[in-house]
Amino acid sequence: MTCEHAAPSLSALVDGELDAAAQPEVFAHLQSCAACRAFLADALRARGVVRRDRDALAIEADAVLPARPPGARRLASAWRAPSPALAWATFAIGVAALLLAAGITIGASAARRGAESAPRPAQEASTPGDDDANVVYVCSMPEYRVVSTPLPDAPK
Amino acid sequence: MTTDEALVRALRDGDDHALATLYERHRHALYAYSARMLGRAEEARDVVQDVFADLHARRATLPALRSVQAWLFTIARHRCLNALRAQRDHARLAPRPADVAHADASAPVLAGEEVALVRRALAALPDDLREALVLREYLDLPYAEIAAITECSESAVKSRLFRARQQLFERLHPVLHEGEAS
Repeated sequence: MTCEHAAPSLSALVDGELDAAAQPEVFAHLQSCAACRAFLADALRARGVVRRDRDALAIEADAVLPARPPGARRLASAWRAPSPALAWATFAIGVAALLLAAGITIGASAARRGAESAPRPAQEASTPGDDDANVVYVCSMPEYRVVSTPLPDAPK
Repeated sequence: MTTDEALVRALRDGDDHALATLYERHRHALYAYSARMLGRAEEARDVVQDVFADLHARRATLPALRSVQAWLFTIARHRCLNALRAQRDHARLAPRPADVAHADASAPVLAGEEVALVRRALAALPDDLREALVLREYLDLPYAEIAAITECSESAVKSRLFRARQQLFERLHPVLHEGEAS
């Protein structure tokens, strides 16, 4: 066997891909050929260096690549449209909430206007103060209304 | 452990967790292949993401695959070859990697520089030789699978690997024979 024929087989030998039938001839050539032995030694040394690069690449891949595939990420963040029935129910609840809030607001302001325009007998009996205090006063002490009625003339 | 083929079937049936499992299983190898073929981390990352975006987009019509890994590498390979063509179209006047690698190979190698020298030496190899060497040395793929991915015969793989090693050893001489020189 010549070096020209042996060399490709040496590469396959390094990779564990050399046919068993071809191995005796290649080993016999190796015993007598220093150049081919040097090629084999270089292949093994180079593999060591390449493996260090491979290890570095694994670290690089973790730093560069996202944790999830692009398709899965899109799925995870995808917004799903609600069903029509759920959409209508949500809309109806929203409208009802708005109407309720508007009713409360209108009712409260009407009550406040009514309270302000109505005669406040209690105010006459009370000490001057702010309106809120008077309202509370009237509500909590209705008996003071009696005080506001005209008193009988004093006996002469 | 669930096989790749079972995961692809699950993906076809609408199980999107299968995609994440396939990604976790193959992303390092696809990145290593793409990074050493293209020499640029950003482009390698894009190739890996494109491969899985493609897998996701075609999940409903995926055929029964004999080897999912080979199928993924075939997609990555086509994208890498397209990217290499684009690189050359856009950088015809730039210094060729081969020139840089030869210049570096003649310089003394300091400790810690050998990995960088390996990368430059690989980049200087012809595409077909570099591809065979990367698939074998970085990914430990058998000749039959390398032949399937690169669409050539096993004897062609054997020949490419031999020629790739010859050229690599020449460029890595300062690293491989560092102790002998002193």
